[in-house]
Amino acid sequence: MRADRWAQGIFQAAFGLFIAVWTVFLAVIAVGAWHFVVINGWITPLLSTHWSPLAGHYGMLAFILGSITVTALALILAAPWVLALAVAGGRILRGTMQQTFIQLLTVFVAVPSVIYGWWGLTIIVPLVRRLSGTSGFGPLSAGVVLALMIVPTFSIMALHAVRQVPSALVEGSLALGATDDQTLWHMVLPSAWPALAQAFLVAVGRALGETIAVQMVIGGQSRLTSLLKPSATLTSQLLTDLALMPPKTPGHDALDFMAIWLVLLMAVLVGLQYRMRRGLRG
Amino acid sequence: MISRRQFLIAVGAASMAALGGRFSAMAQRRQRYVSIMGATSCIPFVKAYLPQWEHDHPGMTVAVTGGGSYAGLRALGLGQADIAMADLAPPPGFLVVPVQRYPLGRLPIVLVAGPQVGIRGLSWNQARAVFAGDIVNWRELGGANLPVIAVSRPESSGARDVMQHRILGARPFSPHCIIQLSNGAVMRTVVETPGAIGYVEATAPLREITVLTLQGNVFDPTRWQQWPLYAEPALYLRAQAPKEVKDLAAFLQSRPGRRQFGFYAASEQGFVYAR
Repeated sequence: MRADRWAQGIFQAAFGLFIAVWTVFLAVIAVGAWHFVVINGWITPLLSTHWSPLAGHYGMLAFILGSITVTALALILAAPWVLALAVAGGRILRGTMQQTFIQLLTVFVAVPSVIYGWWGLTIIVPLVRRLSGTSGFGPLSAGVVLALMIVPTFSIMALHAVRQVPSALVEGSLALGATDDQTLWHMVLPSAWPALAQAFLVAVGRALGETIAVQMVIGGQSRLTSLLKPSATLTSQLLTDLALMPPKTPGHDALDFMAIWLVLLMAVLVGLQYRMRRGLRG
Repeated sequence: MISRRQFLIAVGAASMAALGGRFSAMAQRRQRYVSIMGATSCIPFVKAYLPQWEHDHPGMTVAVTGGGSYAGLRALGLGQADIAMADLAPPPGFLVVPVQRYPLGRLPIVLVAGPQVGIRGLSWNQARAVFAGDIVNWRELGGANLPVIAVSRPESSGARDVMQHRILGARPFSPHCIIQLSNGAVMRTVVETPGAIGYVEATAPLREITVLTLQGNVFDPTRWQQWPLYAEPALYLRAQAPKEVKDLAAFLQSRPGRRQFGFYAASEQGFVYAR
């Protein structure tokens, strides 16, 4: 009984600590963002592209569009590949091959993002440069690097989603005369859809929040004119300007405002996912 | 809903965190460590001599962080750093606390390009036109038929500040510049991108790259006095800084070997900066 009380205390302390830490974290950026909003308003920074923090101009539209563009590009490139990998790893490979494949994906999940950025600088940027005749730095390179970064995480989750489909459903479908392809498209993937959607959401979060790998290949300009010209995302600009505007300086509030937008974007995605799951259930 | 007990635990945890911060602040006041922040160009030099100073001052530890000149000066002003390393003088009104300046000499800034551009040097006006984006192809300057790709540092960089004031004047950098966070990243981008031009502090080895002449001046480390583009890095500290902090700044300023890190001592020019 006493041990139970101790265990319960530990669990409650962990929960309390979680609440405390995240409340403090959110409060810090919310206070900074609020200071920013009081002076600059909500709308103007979001609709302006003029970013010159030392001169007091905080237009963030280019970064928001940059984040959306790079994330969308990464997902468009990664999603079909991931789906194919998930089906291969979950339904086609068996035994040692399957285990080795999963272990390999896990290893790639652990590769630090700076290595992906370095790899992007070495391979992707010169490739884009050669194909396009531009400098090679821009959202296209960033999107490709991000796509490669999210593939391992996204694939592992998608693979588990596909593997979790009850074999009785698959066998039933085959017994009724459906082909492997029909079973895959009409039974396996629809059954795995909620978990696949969750994997997709995690991939979106990883892509949206990635900083250093993107910063290394995107070019760092505070504008978005083309997929092939230097631009920036919310996170890459946060990294670049953190040195210019450390905490407790007036411009730092603009970075808090950017951070709040990232949190809000993620909250919207999580909300969408819950709505999607509810819809599927019922 | 969280229970009353969970709420109390959360409040307790927050109080512990606050108390931790308080103890941390008390420890800082005893000044058993010194934090240095700012220009990345100064870090190799500072780090090379720190072990000697720490050895001579048992119990003292020094933390060194980059971030750029502006970040260092801001951190100094806010009390987050004891010493700021900066390639630039703080703009008027930037620091509201009285500070002392310990100059480290001159740090040449050189224009670098890949050998493919077919240009060996630029005049001041040409350099301005290139970095402002007026010249878009090296052919316009008699070089190769390659697009000009300017590579710059972010606004927090002291080297960029020197380029802005000495080369560009009132003109802004081209909106198509590639922004890289460090000297090394600029060098790598210039080496690997055909048609690229950038600027770096001459602390790093300048291999595989063309150092452009500027207005006919050739960069030669043995005749550095004649090179016209340079930053004047210095250590800044609060006028009321503890004795140890002042001692460390004076120690670093007096090191004779800083030339190997790209710094040329002010005294070699025949004059001494006023503190």
